[in-house]
Amino acid sequence: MSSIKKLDHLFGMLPNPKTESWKYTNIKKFLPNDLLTTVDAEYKNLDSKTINKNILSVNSPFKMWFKNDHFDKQESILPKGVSVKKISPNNVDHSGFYFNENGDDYNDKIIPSKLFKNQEEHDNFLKINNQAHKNCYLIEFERGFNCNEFIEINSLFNSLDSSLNQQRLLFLIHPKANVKLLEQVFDHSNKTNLHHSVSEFICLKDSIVEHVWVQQAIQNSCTVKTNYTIQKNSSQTNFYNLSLNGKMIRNNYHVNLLETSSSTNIHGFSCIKNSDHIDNYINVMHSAEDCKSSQLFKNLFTDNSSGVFVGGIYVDKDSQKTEAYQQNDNILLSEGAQIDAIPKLEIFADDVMCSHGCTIGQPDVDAIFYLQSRGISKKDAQALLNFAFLNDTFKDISCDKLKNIIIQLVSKQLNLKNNS
Amino acid sequence: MLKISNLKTKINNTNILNGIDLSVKPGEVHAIMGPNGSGKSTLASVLAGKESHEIIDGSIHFLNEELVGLSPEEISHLGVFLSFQYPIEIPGVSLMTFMKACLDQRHEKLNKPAMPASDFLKKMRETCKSLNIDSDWLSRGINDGFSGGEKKRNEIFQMLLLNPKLAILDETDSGLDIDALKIVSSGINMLRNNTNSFIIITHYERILNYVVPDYVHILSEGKIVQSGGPELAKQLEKTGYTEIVK
Repeated sequence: MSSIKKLDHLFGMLPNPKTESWKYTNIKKFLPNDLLTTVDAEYKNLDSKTINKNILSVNSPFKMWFKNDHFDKQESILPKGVSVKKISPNNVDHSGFYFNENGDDYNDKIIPSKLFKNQEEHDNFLKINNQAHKNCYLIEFERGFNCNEFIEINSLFNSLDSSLNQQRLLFLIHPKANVKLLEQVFDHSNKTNLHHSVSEFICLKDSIVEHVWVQQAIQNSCTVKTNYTIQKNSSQTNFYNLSLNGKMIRNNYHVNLLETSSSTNIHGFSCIKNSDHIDNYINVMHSAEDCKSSQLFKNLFTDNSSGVFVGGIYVDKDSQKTEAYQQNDNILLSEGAQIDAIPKLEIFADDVMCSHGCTIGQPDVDAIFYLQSRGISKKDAQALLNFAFLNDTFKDISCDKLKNIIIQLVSKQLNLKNNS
Repeated sequence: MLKISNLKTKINNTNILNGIDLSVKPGEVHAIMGPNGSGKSTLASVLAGKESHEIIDGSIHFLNEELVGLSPEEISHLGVFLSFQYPIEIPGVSLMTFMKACLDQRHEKLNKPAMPASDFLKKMRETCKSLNIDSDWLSRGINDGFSGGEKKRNEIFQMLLLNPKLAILDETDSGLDIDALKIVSSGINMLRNNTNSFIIITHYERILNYVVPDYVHILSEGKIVQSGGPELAKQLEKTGYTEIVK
């Protein structure tokens, strides 16, 4: 039923605090020593109905199901203009994909992650994924694709032992396509697993991508979510990262604005507790002029939870008229909570507007008093302020229905009553 | 309705109020005036239950309940409202959500059924109209991006919705232009009746031309040094505080 392969050699490849980009996150601390195995269970045994109570859904007619890293074609419903096909890992490892000169087309030569300078040398997880992942799926959106509905991408995993669950998705967004994705991962086992998902986005001319990643259903496991994105002329991406649960969460966003007038917004929040840990590692490269980027990450820490924010902005010497903003705000709700924040700006052009800001604070007693004076209990006042603090990060999601679901989810997490 | 006796407070070992005595009966409007640093805002905050102020002596009775030791929300549920001198900005929570939460908690506390959504919306819109407030405000964050005058109007808006028995208005007139002052004053007069009382803290006489007080008190160094009728405010306007607070 399931074939399990010991992957001890991969355990040694995991980053440690001596790895610069993992300086403040010792991932091995969160994992059992007997990891790693890979999951190759019969995926049909995984029933999507059993996760329905946990799933965050906008009841979209369009869904993609991945079960133990296999695409479930029968259960998935794709809109017209979208295709999913399995591609050989060898193509990705050694040949990959690339764009031709006019940028409107591609053929199989370079993967986006390779466009990030020496990325694989620094990213051990990418190495692991390159060596150990079994399936890679190319999800292609045709030219001019336009669907108002979010496509819900749900990935399910289960295993008998603690395992390394990997996934590799390559999104190819053709010119003028407008794509909305809601992505989640679910873990059926009660073991401490390590989920590692690499998504690569190739956004061609005039395309728009809205990608919402919700991390709320995996409580005992570690998750590493990596997005590599390259953007062509006048393309636009909006990434939303909502991290509500997880023993250790690492979110990597690498965006390369390759051509003029492209833009990216990367917004995220976390509200974690116990001894959970979140690490947001953001890297935006402005490789062309007249591009815009915005990073906004807010975190609430309770109990002995901890976090890391590393926000990178790189502006190439020819990338004039760049606008790049970065903001990271943190509230520590308990004495045991902790955050390490590192803004990294490397700007080699002289006609740019760039800013970065970082705040670390405690609850605002004057604001709490203001709410209490209107009859709201101290506990609810704090919850309301926490909600207000996080709200900025997801208020621009284009779908009101999804936004309302997120409001309910966050309210529940914050024990906030009557928030509608 | 309200009886303050020998109220003494301190913050960080500094005495602020040094023995306040004040009685407010139902339907009365009391104005409290005084130079900067005389303890006016401290008095307002203490009445509303701010925890950072330590009460070292005295008592505050409101409708036969001792307020000292009660939390701000418990005081609010008894019917006390404080309009802030510097209303807090809370982006991310709409005024609508905020007021719904306030009323729901109040009703729950008073064992009253929750206000139906349609009644709530109707009340919100009517109150907006009475204060010449654009109903767009309801979906904006609390005081988010509001001008000083708009924030003060928002305080009066909240006051009218919560319908308190005692409203303490801490320099609600500061930062208002003449038109806004008239709107705010009319809001106060709308609530004023034989059962509701007001304590208006102000530096200037002008709001008292629109909301005529029954009593004017002058506070200096944490004590009421003089009390009188509306004419006391007029006298202050002419002479300033130095003549009276010698």
